[in-house]
Amino acid sequence: MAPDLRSIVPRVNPACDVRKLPIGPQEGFVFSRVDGLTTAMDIGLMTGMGDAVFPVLVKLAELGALEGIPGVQARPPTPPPPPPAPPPPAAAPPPPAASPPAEAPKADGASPEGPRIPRGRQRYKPEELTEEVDIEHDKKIRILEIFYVLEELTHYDVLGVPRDADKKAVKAAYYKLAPEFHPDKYFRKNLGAFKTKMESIFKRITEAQEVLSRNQTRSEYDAYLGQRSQTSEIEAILRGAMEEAEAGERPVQRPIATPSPVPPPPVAPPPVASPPVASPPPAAPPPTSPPVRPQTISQTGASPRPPVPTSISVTGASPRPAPGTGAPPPTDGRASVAPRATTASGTAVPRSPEEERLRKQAFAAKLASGGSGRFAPRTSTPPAATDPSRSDPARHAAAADSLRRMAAAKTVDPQKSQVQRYVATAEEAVSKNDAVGAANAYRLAASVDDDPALQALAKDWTHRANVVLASSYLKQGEYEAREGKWPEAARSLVRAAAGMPDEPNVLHAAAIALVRAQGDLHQAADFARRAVAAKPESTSYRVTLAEVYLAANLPLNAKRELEAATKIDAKDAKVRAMLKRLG
Amino acid sequence: MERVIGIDLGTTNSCVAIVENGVPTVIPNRGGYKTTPSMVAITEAGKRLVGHIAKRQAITNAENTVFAAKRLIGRKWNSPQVKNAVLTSSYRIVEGPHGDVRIQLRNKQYSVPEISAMVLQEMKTIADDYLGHPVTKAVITVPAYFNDNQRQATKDAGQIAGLDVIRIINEPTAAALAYGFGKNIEKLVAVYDLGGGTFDISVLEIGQNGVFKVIATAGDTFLGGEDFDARIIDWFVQQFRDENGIDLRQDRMALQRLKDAAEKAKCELSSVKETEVNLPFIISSGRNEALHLQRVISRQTLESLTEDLVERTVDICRQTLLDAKLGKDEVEDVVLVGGMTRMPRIQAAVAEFFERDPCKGVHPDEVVALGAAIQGAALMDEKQEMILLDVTPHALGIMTHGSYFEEIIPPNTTVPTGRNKIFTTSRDNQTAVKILVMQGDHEKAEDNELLGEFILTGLRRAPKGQVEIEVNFEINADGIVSVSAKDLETGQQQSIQVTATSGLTQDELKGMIENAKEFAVDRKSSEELEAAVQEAETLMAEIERLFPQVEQIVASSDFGRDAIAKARTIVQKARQAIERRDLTALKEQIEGLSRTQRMFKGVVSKAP
Repeated sequence: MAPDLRSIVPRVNPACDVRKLPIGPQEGFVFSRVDGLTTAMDIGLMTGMGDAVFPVLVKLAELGALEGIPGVQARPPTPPPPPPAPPPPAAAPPPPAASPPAEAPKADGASPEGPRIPRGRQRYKPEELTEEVDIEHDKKIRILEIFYVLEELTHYDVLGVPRDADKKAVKAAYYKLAPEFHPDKYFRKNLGAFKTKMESIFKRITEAQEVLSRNQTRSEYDAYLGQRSQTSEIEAILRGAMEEAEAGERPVQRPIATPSPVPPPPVAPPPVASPPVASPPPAAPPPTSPPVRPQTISQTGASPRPPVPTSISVTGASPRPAPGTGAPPPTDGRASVAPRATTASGTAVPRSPEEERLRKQAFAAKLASGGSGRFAPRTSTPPAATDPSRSDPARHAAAADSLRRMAAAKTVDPQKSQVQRYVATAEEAVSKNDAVGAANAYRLAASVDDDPALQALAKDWTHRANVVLASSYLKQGEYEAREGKWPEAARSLVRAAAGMPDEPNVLHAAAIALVRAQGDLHQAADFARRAVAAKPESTSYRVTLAEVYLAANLPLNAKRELEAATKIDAKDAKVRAMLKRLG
Repeated sequence: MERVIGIDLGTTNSCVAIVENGVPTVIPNRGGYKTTPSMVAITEAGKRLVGHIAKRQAITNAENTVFAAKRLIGRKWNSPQVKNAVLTSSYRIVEGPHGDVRIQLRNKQYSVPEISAMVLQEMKTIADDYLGHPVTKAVITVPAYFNDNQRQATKDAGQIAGLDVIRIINEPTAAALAYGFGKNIEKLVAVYDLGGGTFDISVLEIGQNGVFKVIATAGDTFLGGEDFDARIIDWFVQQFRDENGIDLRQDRMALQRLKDAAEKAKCELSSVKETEVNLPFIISSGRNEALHLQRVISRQTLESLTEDLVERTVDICRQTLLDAKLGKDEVEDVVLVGGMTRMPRIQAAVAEFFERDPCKGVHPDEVVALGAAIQGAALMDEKQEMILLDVTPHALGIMTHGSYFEEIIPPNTTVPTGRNKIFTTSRDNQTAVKILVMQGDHEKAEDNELLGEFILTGLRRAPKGQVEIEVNFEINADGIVSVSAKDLETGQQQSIQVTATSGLTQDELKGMIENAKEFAVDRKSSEELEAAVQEAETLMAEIERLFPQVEQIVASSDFGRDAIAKARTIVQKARQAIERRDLTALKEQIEGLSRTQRMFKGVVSKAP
């Protein structure tokens, strides 16, 4: 009864926010190949999954992410059910169904209505809650929780409506929330610091309502969100794949011993948890805890609600150390689009070339769903196994079966055909101007085959892919800078700079954004220095560097930089003014 | 929970209401009327008259009777509206010490808020009497299109009148609150409010959870019933001149009589097709001969005289819907507010424009005060499921180079709100910028209202256009505007909280509040004295009437001689107290008088 995959052309449902779906990297990877033109069969070829791609497409369609899969009724993209209580830590490998969701909803507020508050550490200081005001305790918590994530939430999140909500639903959500946060509700009451916070929340929900109630403003906003989610999706897919591969290889890797304090996890349970596809909320601070301590995170916060979906997802359930979510563990610098600098030093485990090679192999194997017998067991529990909303075990079993069969077939004709297939996929991607796809496929091929030409291609396309992604980030960052959203702009521009390390203007923009956002000044200094190095004749870059130094309270360095600038252009008014100020 | 009254301080009439047991109710005045004329007069004897009494004596005391003070409130002396009013009003409008407006009554100058305060005090008294205890908190309505200075002046007036004005709300909004209160409806409603002096149009959305959200509002603060009256007056004056060659405008008293007659005719023409204006002996011809004005005016004449005014209101409606990007078909109901909406031509024009018959369920004269009372109750009572999301009616911004007005907060923005914009220097080596905070909708800065100003200094010397200054505007829920400017380079910052001015300095305001307080106390005691005098005189009259009888009865016996003498002493003392206007002494004597009166009555009734 297998459908004719050639006749099926899946399309992306633009109304669906794929980041919110409970899917793993495999689905994410498949999703990233869907362009409305490629047939299911081709997607199977591109992903190396063959016919097994079909169940994945079906699942994506059921979740509402795809259209055009015959016989599938898209369910409205409802948030997944609340995560079950996490099983006791360090238990024996639990059955997949009982494992905690790798994909708990990124956003699910404390109340069924209202802003979707990302779960996470408590952002407000406990003393803020103790302020004596005429507001009930619970309401105080709600105000503080929402206030500190206001800038991270999309307009949809703020109102707690789905992406495809019609005007009526938007209005209803607003009318529900407006009375709750309008300061008149507490007229002439002592609200202390809560008054301005309530006003901020009110302003934000009003802005959200206004943007979403008008067709024009809404479509502009959607375009911006699209840009944002596009970058974070690709990133998440890459990251997800990397982490998966990493997780898979680790049992083998450990003995090679890195200085990482990570205790070697037991080999027996195959890692099953898939990392979240959902990107972290844009303004989330970079994770600072090394991946070895997921439990500490889960216990943070007095919040009685279930723990954070992201890093906690693996707590207890899987022995695999949870990856940091804010930024992927940088792997080879080329594959990772996330800036190294946002990752705390703890996560950046140095790796030997040998380790690197093995990891790449693992990554390739993962995407190819086979290639090495070592991964066979894992395919029997596909990443989606951790998905609590998985509804059809039978279909998945079938998919797994088919994957297994394919894996078996591959071993007969190992490397050669695989490489060929990757190259074909890559060429096809190239012909479609899909740099990211091409880079992926070439990298896969290069990871299996040492051919220098292939290595060069992989390197070249990885670079191009990063540029593509970076230019996306650049656009996004520029929008955010225009809107005065400096923290967001800083994050986007930092990523853009990571992808275009040789573009002084991007580095410069990132440095400025970091200073304005009062972000990481070391990083800002690094960017500004690189910008100056790339274009030493520019006074404005030096001025920016000087400003970074000033912000970092290094007036001597700033002065030196400004003096260097005077040598280039003695008349530059800004330089002179700054020097004068420095005395 | 403290009670709050809602006051509709109208151009021609005012109305006060309160929410009682969840039901908004209009409080009638002592005469039993639900509205009170917003008129104030000072008599020859220096006595202050407010309301119906002031209106009744207006003809004989036109120069010292203020009507339509609302048209002047919060305006500057040199504004065109004031210039116009100076020419047409029967009382003297003079320039105040700060470019503000004062009204000269007898030999004293009053600020406009003081005059309005007299009306508000009257409304407060009506409520106090009705409730049996004094109220202090009030919500006062203003035309939606009032700017911040006009609102502040109204607030000051409330303060002078001894009221704690907890909120100023817009008249059409108040009308919508009264319209939608307790109905649990979800509707988009347009409120067409044509009052005595102002025209407002507001579009509101009434939603779930008692939310009233203003979508758009616009209006004209110098377009109202008074303008309709003026057209009728013009017509009569013209006719009279054609017939008799005499300009009635030269005689203030004649003009006042005509004004009253014109207003009356206008009202009558809402129900009849034609009416006669008959003013005998309106003016002397100069040859010792009195002339009479007697003329019939038809509804049709009135309509043709005022067609452009009606058209102007419709134009504003059209523009408002356009600005709000709303179609006429989206408006689900139209509420008519203000006495002028009784005019059939206006009802027809509104029905024609909105393509639906206006709602008939609300009382055009009372609905605004009711809405104000509802908002007052909602603010003070947490349990009240009602919230009003109002908008700022005018744009807020700053003056930029070339004296242009740069908008930062657009009109019809829901408050509380905050916006910012980045500006830059306009001259080379400019080290300071002056931020002129303005309100209005005109491109040229000088056509807008100046709300406040401050200077940001210490800018870097640089070619023009290089230094960036971020200007941030915030409006909080109470409508208070704060503005800050920040040098993005140095982080240096300056800010002000804009306090709109009513044309009065803080000291002057304080003095006026003090004066008004004294006045209030004063008035209260005199009222009490009048009442006591009245009571004493009634008792004394009764005693005097019984004296002969009692004397007769007592004369035939020995007993009670000194009782008579005592009664005489009491009456005498009471008379002295009345003469001295000594309330305390009089009160004592009243007790004695009533005892004597009771005794006299007893004696007479027991006599054979």
